[in-house]
Amino acid sequence: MQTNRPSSDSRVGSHHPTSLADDSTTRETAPPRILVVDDEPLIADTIVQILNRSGFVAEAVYGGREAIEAARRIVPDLILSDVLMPHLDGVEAAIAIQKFLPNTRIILFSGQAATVEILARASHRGYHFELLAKPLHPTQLIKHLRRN
Amino acid sequence: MDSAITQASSPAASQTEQQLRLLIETGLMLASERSLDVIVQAALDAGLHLCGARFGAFFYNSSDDIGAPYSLYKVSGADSSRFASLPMPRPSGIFNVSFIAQEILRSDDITLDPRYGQNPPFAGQPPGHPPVRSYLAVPVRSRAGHVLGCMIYGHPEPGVFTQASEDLVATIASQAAVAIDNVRLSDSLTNEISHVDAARTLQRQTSDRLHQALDAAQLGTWIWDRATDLLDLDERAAVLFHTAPHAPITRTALRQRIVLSEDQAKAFKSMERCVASGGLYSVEYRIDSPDGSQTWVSASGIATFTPGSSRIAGMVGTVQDITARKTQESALRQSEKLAATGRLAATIAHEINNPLEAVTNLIYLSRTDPAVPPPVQLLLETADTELARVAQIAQQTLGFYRDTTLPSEIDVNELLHGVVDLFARKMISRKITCTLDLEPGLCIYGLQGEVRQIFSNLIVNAIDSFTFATTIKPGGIHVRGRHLRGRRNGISILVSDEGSGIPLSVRQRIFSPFFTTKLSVGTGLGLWVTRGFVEKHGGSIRFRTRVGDPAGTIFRVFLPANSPPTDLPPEALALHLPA
Repeated sequence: MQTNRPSSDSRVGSHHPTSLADDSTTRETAPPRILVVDDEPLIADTIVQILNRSGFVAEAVYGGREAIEAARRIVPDLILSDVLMPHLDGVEAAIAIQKFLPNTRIILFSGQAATVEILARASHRGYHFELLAKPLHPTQLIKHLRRN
Repeated sequence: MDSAITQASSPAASQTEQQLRLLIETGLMLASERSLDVIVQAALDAGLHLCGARFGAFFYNSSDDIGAPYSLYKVSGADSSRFASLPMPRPSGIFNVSFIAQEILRSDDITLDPRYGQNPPFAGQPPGHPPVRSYLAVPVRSRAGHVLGCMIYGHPEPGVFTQASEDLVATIASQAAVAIDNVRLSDSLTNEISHVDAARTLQRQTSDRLHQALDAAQLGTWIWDRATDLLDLDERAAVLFHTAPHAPITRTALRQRIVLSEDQAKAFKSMERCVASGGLYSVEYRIDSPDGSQTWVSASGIATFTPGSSRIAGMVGTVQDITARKTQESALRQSEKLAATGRLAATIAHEINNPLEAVTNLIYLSRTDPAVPPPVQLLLETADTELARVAQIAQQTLGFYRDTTLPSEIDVNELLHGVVDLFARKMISRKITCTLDLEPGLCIYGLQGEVRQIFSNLIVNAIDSFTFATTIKPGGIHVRGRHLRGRRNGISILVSDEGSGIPLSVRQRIFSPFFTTKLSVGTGLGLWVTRGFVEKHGGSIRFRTRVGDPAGTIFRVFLPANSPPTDLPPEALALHLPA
């Protein structure tokens, strides 16, 4: 699936905000940067392609640990993450990321009912994340991401 | 005593008259007295006066006892404390004459009697005994000849007691004996009566306890006679069997009248087996009630035998309504089935939601690629619509539809418009019109996804109701929303259709899981899930339906406003929704 990755990836990767002030000014005009996390590369990659076609700047990673690294590197405006992933699940990764990126909007995305319980545990620890159910039609996903 | 008469008579005549008067008065008094104490004291006192003794004592014969056979019961004329401290006499010597031989002993000087002084341990009068020379002992005999006791009189002077005094004391003694006999008779009668009373009380208590136990267990009782096949039912059993208590009815007739036909053979065989083997009878079966409902009962019994033979004469037993237990058992089985289904559903949901997501994305990407020729785009669009159906079925039936995790304020008007919009294309293609009549500001607090699911299921069903076999009849769906204020604040939403209506045969089962009339397209979970969500939100769902012409169905959903608890942290809200 690596071959499917959009060419815009490199642009996201090379984006380095210089300062917080600079970041907030560019946010007004620059397209929102989104980090897509899913252990199923097909899902992560197709979502990235859809988002990149719809005016976002998206990048895909395939695990919780990679998500933390990528978040540090690209400082996304928004993270769309699967929940049940091997090694480090989406909730744990989201909590870790939220600690150093408090302004990043994190949306969890899951196909399992058990996710709700995991999310409840996160909210007990003081973290409240949005949750979207898979499957979600791309038009609705885009609509949801554009909201707020 | 009349002093005029005393003065008018000569001293001797006066004394005799006084003695007679005393004798009669004592006799009357003893006859009416019921206290042993008073009887003995009165007889003893009268005797003392009549014989002119200095002192007297009544020894009560308690020879049934081991040890001291005579108890000093009463004293008269002398200081009673002097007697009380004396040891009791033993059955020997002088005492034997009156007690054992039941004879009167009168002595002018007892110290000269050859039997005197043979009474161990003191050989004569014990120390401290009032000095006695004149001695008169009169036994008090019962009618049965038993010595009840002995009246003994003494005087320090010799030769005080005459034959006349002996006769007078003997008369008193016989009167006392009759009185004591009467008291004893009366006592034993009273005793007898109290025994009977106690037995009756015990019997009543046992019977009460049995009735209470039967009441507590809600048990009815029955008796069956084998020879006549007649049943005798108590009130509760009669109520259960829809007949009159103690009305003559045969077991066979009752069984044929009320026992559900499927269960008749079971009930009959169980009875036959018990009659053949003499074992315990225990069977559960269903009864048809006159109101059309069915009752589960459990009957148990045990064989009764002809006295002195091993022939089974009939049976006695109990009967109990076990409908509640049977319903619970069935609900439990059902809920176990559902729990297993739930686990299966969760597994399937996980397995299919991810590939669904991937395929949806792939179709979207293909469809939106400008390089794809329009005819192919059209095909992909259809594929996308069909896939959306798969996604929707998966969400509806596998019970995973949550776009928010916490309950929130829901604008029901917006939600209903959204749901109707979602199915607009489907309705247009089937020539179904849809109107909404919503009071402004319909708002509840709850889980958005679940509330949306409730109404999308009802609207999907309304749309499907227009399918008549193979043809589709045009018609309308009407959605009406109103505020409800009163006992419970909330909203009432009606979803009515002009479809085919729900046939009578399936009305009872439409909320049951895995029940569908939609053949290949239905999962049978839609209304079951809908009702689950409605009840979880503390609401209710009802329907009215009509088949024929005109036909249609109205579903009415009530949802309480459920204002959010303000003093709870957000994560607690989900838990505080009515389950």
